[in-house]
Amino acid sequence: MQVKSPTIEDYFLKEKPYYLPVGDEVEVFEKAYRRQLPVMLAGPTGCGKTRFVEFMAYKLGRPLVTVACHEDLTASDLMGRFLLLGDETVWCDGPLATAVRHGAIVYLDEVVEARNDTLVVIHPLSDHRRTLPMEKRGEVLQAPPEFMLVLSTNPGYQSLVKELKPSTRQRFLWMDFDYPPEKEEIQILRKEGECKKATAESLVRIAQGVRRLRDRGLEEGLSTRLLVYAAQMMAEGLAPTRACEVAFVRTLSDDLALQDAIRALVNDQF
Amino acid sequence: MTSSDWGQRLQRGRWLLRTAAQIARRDRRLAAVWGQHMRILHNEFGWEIAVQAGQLLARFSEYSVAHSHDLLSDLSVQIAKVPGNREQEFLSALSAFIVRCPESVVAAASAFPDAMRKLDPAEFQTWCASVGQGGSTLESTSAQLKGESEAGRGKLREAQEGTALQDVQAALSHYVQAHAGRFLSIDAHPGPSLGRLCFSCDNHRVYLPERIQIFGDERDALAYRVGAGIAAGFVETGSFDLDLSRLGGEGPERGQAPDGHDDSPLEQICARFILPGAAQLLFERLERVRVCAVLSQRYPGLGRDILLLKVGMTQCLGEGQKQPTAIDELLDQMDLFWISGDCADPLAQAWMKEAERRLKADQFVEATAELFLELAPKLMDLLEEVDPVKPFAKAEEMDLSRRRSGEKAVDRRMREIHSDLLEEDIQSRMESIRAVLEGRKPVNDTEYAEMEAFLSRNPPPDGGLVDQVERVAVEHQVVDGDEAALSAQGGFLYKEWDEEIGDYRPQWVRVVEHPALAGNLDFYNRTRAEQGRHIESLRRRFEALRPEAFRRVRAQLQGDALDLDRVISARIDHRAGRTPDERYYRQTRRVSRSVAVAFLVDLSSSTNEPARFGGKRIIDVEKEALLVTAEALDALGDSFAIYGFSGFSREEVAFYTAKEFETPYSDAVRAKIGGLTFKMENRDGAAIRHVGTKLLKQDAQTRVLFLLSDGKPLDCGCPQYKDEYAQGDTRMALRELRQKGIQALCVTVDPHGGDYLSELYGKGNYTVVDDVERLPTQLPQFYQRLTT
Repeated sequence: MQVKSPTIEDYFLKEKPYYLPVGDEVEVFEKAYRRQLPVMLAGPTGCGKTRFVEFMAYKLGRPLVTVACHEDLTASDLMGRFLLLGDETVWCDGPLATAVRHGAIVYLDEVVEARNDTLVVIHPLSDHRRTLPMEKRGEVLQAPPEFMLVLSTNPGYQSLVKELKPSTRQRFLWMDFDYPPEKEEIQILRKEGECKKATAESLVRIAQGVRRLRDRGLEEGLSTRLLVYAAQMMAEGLAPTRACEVAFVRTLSDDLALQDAIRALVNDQF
Repeated sequence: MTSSDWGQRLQRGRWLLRTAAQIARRDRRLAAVWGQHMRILHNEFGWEIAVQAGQLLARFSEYSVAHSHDLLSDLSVQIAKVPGNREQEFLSALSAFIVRCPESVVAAASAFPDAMRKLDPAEFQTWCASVGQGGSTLESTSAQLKGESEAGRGKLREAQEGTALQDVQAALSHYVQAHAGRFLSIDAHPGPSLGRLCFSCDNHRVYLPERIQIFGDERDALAYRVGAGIAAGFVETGSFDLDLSRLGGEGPERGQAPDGHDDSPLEQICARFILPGAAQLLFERLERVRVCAVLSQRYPGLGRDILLLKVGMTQCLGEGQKQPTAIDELLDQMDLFWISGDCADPLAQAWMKEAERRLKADQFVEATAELFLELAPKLMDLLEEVDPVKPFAKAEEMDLSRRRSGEKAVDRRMREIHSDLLEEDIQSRMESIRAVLEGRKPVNDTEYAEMEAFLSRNPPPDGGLVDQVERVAVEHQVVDGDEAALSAQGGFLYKEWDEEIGDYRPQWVRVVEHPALAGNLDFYNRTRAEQGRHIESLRRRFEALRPEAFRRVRAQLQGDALDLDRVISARIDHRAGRTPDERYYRQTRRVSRSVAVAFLVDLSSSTNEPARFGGKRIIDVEKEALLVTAEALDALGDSFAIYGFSGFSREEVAFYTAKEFETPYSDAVRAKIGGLTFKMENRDGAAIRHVGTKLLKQDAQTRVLFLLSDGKPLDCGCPQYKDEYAQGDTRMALRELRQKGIQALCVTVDPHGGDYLSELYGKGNYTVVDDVERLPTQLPQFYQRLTT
């Protein structure tokens, strides 16, 4: 029996991801990479954080190892474990160890979802030491200069019982993300959603209206990602109002009045 | 007097005597009062109505003498409120009600006039028949009548045709904000409930008709959306940002605004004409052309629906009444042209065509103003051609009714608070003050300060009392800022942050704890009746969140079972010659959620206002939300406390305890929540600090303060506790909490809350509930989201 685990080659991006820079984020990220500093990306869901990291990984020619954080994530899930293979014990690297060994960019998505005791394993990686001690193997991995740690969080929407400890928080450069400006968002929709300019403009106008309703019971604004979904459904031939209905009207809120208001904004356009 | 008159009088006299005797058989005093009221009814409403009312009262006295007294004293007042010659209809409906539910007749009498205003006779009849049907209790019937329950409102809606503003208001409120980018309140249009174009906007409010009945199907709701879209469009497209200095032409008349004007630019240019009201209506009509052009370009769907609405309106346009003046006629014809694209009046036609030609989507409000300045003098010229007696009926009436509706919102509520609700309170307070002044009752310094403040807000009819208090106050040497006096009074002293001096004022505010008055369970029972289903589903949902009493923990040195994964890895380590990790047991352990939450309710006097027109008071909705959430937390097992605060001046921030952390949640607590009532001011900082000390004593991992508020911190008992000072202090109090590891959250019903709360509480830690009546649903949701 062969233990099959992904090799580092699997983590290289084959195609250039589409990302439209809206500010100096590319420059900041590159400088951080050169200086070997870890980065925290903060912003609402669906505004392009993950896509940005993919784009940067491709641009810098590094493999990208993504870990979606959750409550049951343990330190060995990140670092690796011994497995029994017949009479042998075989060590199997976890995603973090793989990334450190090969100088990849490691991206811990929604990092607050992970427990604090798990997150401490990244502490020595995120300061000047840049090491990953692996007790079980009696080995300390030294990260090569190409290795980079990137975390993401969504400060607008999180539970009080899940807050990042200051000792974790204060190890990262902080980059704020928000939904792209009008012109850029239209451009993104045209490219990603394969839609006409007029449709893209309409969708962006709807989003602008909906985003003015943050604080009124909407936990998050209408994300670019959902707009892209709507555009893609339209490109598949679904009627615009129906596409919006399935893409975001029902998704954004359970509140009937809010749904009605969002629906009205959709009807303003289509 | 003719003989037939005599005969009539005799007949009437006989009837009166006979009926009085009939009533006297049950209660003599009632008969006497009845007689007096018959005179009043006769004088005010004429003999026929009086007889009908008299018979009704006589019949009712057979059911209940005590209630008859109530009905007697109320009936003439209610008849006076009945709209448009429908008194007989009112009385017949009421006497039908006596047969069906005699115990609710008094409530029905006071509810009917209001319902009649909303319903035509046929609808009213349907509604009357539906209220109190199907095993309703006394409480629920009375709530239905007053429209204080969902069922009651639903029945009223069912009886009406078309779409009611109330039904779509919550969604429209969001919609309008999405367009305007800021909060605009939605009000019923003061004009006729079903006219042509009853939607407008005055920069703060959007006016819409109370009911739309154009299509008779779901398109009526669409008409609301279009109307709201256009009205909010005035804000969205910058109609109120008119910049007078950018107007063309020459001289101050056209360009620069005169100095010292507080009026908006729009009001200023309208004020240049002899009929500003009419001028404004003209402006509105011209500007509407531009706004719609912009909207149609920006929102293709809305543009399409505007056309649809116009078609619908054209179909239901009647003959059109003859307008009283040429100006009104012209304005009306302009509306007509806007709707149907055609009108009889050549002038209106020419003006509107000119507007359509010039005010395209790429124009700004200044273009409208230019056109307006050309046309308005011509409009005023029409004034000379009309009847001098009623020169500008409609336009000026419109001005008046708007002003009245403005008053409706604020002043009337204030008046109501002071007249109805506080009257008894004021009377008893005055009485006790009098007692103090006459030396009949001992008093301390704080009470004096409070008395003084009270009198300054409620000047007694005899001015002498104020002087007297002032005199005695001087004798008592109540000096503001006297710390010794403060601490000697008991209570808890807290520091307060002064933004201006950049420092704390130590021992500055006294918080005095009061047990909350135990009300009775009425409020709880009513809430239970209304929200029962919601409470049950919430309880179930929160019970599901309750952590299982036992949880398996892995990696233990000892335990009741082996953890297979860990055994294997220990075995591997052993074989590989390393020291294995011996923690390979699993243990079943009792776990608990460790959350302590304190709810702090703002009991300031503003919570006495209704949440929206015709709705419940804010305080009642807050209490409902507390009850619903308390039920949910009880199911969840989180430790919680409920406090209210108010007070007046820094010498007493009154702090009311409905439930301490230790107190079990019981009927006593429910009654106390029901007993919470609005008081005076809200000095948030001190109350927050006081709750903070209480929370710190709780042994919990997560400690949370939940503030339920209806506005900014404000204490009128102290001139400086407002604006920056009050917000600075609140911000500091919250910062202190966070430093101690207490999370603070705020749920507000203040639509402008977003402006200042993010600075105070931080992004994501507050929520603005714009439709207050949804608070009972949203508070538990917000709680769940933030603590699980």
